[in-house]
Amino acid sequence: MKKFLTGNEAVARGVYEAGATFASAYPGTPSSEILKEIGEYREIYSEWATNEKVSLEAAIGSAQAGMRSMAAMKVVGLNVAADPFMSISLPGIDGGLILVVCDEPGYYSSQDEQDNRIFAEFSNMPMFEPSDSQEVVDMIKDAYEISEKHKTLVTLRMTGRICHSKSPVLFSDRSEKDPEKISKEPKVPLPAAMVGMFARVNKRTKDLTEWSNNSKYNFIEYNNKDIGIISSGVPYYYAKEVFGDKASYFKIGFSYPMPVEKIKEFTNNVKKVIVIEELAPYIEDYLKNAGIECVGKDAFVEAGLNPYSGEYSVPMLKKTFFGENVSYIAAKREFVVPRPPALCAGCPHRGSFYALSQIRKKYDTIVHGDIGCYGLGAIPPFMAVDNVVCMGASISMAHGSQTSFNRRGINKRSIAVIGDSTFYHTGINSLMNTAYNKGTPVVCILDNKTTAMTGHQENPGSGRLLAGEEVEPFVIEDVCASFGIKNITIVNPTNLKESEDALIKAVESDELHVIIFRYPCVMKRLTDKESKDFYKPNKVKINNEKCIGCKVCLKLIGCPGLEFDKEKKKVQVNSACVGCGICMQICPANAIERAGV
Amino acid sequence: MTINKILLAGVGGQGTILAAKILSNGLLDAGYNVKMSEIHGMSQRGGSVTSHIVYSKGEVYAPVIDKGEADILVAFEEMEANRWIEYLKIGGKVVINDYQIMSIPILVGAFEYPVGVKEYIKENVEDCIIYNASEIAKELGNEKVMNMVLLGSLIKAMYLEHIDWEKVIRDNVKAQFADINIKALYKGMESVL
Repeated sequence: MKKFLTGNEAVARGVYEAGATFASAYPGTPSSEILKEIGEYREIYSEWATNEKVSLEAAIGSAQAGMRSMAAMKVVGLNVAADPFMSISLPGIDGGLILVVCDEPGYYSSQDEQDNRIFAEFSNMPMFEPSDSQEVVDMIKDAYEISEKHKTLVTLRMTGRICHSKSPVLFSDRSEKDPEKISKEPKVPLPAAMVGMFARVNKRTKDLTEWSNNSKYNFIEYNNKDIGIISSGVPYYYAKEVFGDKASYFKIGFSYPMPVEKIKEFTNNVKKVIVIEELAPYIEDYLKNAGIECVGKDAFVEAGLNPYSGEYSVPMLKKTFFGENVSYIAAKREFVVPRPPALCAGCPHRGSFYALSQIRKKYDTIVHGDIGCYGLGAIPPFMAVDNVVCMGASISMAHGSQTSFNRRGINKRSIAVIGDSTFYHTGINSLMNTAYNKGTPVVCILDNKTTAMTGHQENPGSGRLLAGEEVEPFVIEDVCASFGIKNITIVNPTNLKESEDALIKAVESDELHVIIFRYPCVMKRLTDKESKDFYKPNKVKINNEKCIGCKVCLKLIGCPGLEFDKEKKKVQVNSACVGCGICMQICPANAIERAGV
Repeated sequence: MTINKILLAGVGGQGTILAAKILSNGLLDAGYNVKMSEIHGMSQRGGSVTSHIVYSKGEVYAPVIDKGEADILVAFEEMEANRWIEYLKIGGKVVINDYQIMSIPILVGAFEYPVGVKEYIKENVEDCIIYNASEIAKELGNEKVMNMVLLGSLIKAMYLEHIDWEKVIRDNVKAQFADINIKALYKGMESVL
C-alpha cells in the first residue's frame, strides 16, 4: 500500500516499521508533527520532553536498555541537546538510537538557519540526508541497523521543505525487535578509558566510510558527462528539474562519513563538477579539501544571488547556470498590504502585552523576551519587547541587565517575559540562578497552559500527557516559592487593571518579583477544571450610539475580532470575538458592552 | 513529460490545506505522480498561507513552486491574488475568490484594503475567473465549504472532471460533511463555463 505522507509523517512511519519502542521530543517548527504522528502508533512509547537535551538523554537511556529509540528536534534544538549529542560519540551505545533534526533554510520559524550537517563531522557520528518521504522511511530503517552494528547514534538531518512536503511512501509491516545485548563494559569517559574509545571511534569512522562509498543512498546517474552535479536533500530535485538529462548526477544521501572515493570516481568521469547544496558549502569544502575542482557557491554569487541563506529553487538554478530570468507578472506594490501573523482574538497575551506597553510609557525599562507566541509582543501595536535570543534566555538576561544597572546606579527596571512551556524548557533554570544569586528583575510568566506557537502540544503545566491522559499540572508558583522567591503574584491577563497594578508594584520595588499571567490559550483543548475556571462565552457588542469611531481599540490591541466599518464610521465586532472583554476596558467612550450570549 | 504546478493561496483558516489534500489524492488515484508542499508556519494566527501541488504523468521533482512557475493560481482571498500573482507563469490561469479578509494592519487602520486588485489581475491575465465562492457556499448552508467551491473551479480549469472526486471527498472529510462538500465542488465546476 502506498500513502501520501509529509516528511514528518514518514519519520513516524519509519520509526514504527523499524520496530522502535521509545520516542521523545520537544516541539519546534518544522519538526513538531513528528512526535504527534509517532504518538498515533501504540507500539511506541512517546512523550513530550521538557527540552531537547532531556529528550535526547532519555532516548540514550532507552537505547542503552537495548531498545530502538529516537529523539526529534528542530534546528536550534540541537544546540540545547549538543551536550549529550557530542558526549555520546566516544562511549557509544548498545541499542539503536537515532536523532532526527530538522534544519530550516529560510528561517521561517527559527531564530537561526545553522547548517547542522557540520554537527556530524564535529561529533564523528554518521548522518543521513533524505530528499523525499520514501527516503525518510528507508533511511530510518538502515540508520537503526548501522546504529546497532556500530554502536553509535545516527542522525537523520531533514530540512523544513522535506518535513512539510508530501510524496508517496510504500508501507511495510513493522518488524518487532528483540532488545540488543548490553555489554558489561562500563561506558564512562574516564581518562584511562578514553584511549580505547578514540580507537573505537576511528575504526567506526573507517568502517562507515567504506559503507558510505558503497551505500545505495550515495548513487550515480550518468547522462551527458559534460556536467556532473553533486547534490543532496531537496536541491537534488531542483537540479534534476533544471538540468534533466543534460547532466550526470551524484546524489548524496549518507553525508557523513562522506563517500569521497566514490565521488572521485564520478568526478573523473565528468568534465565540469557543480555542487548544488543549500546553506553552508559543506560538500564543496569536502571536495576542495580532497583536491577536486568544482563550481559551487561562487556561481550563485556571480549571478547576484545569496546561496548561503534561504532555500534554493528552480528559478535560482536557471538564473545561475543558464542566465535565464524567469518572467512573471509583477504584483502591484500599492496593493501589497501586509498580512502578518497576529495574536488570536481572545488571546490572553494581548492583555499581558497591553499592560506591559502601558507600563513602558511610565517607567524606564528594558524588556527581554523569549521564544513563542509572545514574540508577537515585539511587533505593533505593542512594541513591548527589546530583545530576544533563545529559549529560556529572557530570565537570565533580565538578571544580568538588572544586576549591571544596579551596580552602576542606573534607575532602570529589567523585565523578563516568558511563556509557560519556555519556562519549563530552560527558564526554570534561569529563575533558579536569579533567585540564588539575589537577582532583582521583574519576571513575567505568561502561563497559557499549553505550548501554543508550535500547535498546542502538552507540557508539564497543561494537565495532560501526549496521549491525552489527564495528569496533575505543575504549579509554577510553588516552584518559584521553593526557590525562596517572596514576591509572587498571580493575575488574570484579561483584567487590565489587575495586570497593570501588579506590574506597577513590581517595577516600583527593587526586589525580585514573579508575576504569573494565567489564562489558557484560546485554542487550547481545556481540561475539565479549566472549563470550569475560564472562558465563559460572552461576546461583546458595540453600542453604536456611544461609539465615536476613534479607533482607539483597534490601534491599541489589534484584535482580529474588531473591525472598522467605513460607511458607519464605527467599530464593529465580528465572528472571531470570544468575549475576553479586553477591548471593553480600553474604550474611551465606554461603547463596548457585553452581548449577553 | 509536462510537469503541472498549481498554487493555492489564502488566509489561515480558509481551508486551502484540505483543498490541496483532496486535489492531490484525486491526482494520485488517477495515476499521476504528485508532490505537495504546505507553508503553514503561522497559519493559525491569520497569516498568508499557500499550498503547492506539482503533478505529472512522468516524474515530478521540486515539491515547491517559485515565481513565474504556476500553471494555475487559485486565490482564496482577493488581495492574496496580487501578493501571489508573481508565482503565476506567463500565460497561466487564475481563479480569484471575490472575497475579502481584513488583515490586522487594515483592522487597526494603518492600511486601507486595496481597491482594484481584480481589475489589475484581469488586465494582466487573459484567462481569469473571478466570482464570490463564499456566497455560493453560504447558499449551500455553510460558508466554510467555499474551499470546495474553488476546488471545483480549479478542477474544471485543469480539465480533470473525469476523476471520481466524490470518492476522494468521502475519503477525506468527516461523513456528516461529505454531502455538502460534494455539492460545493459541483457548484464550483458550474461556475466556470
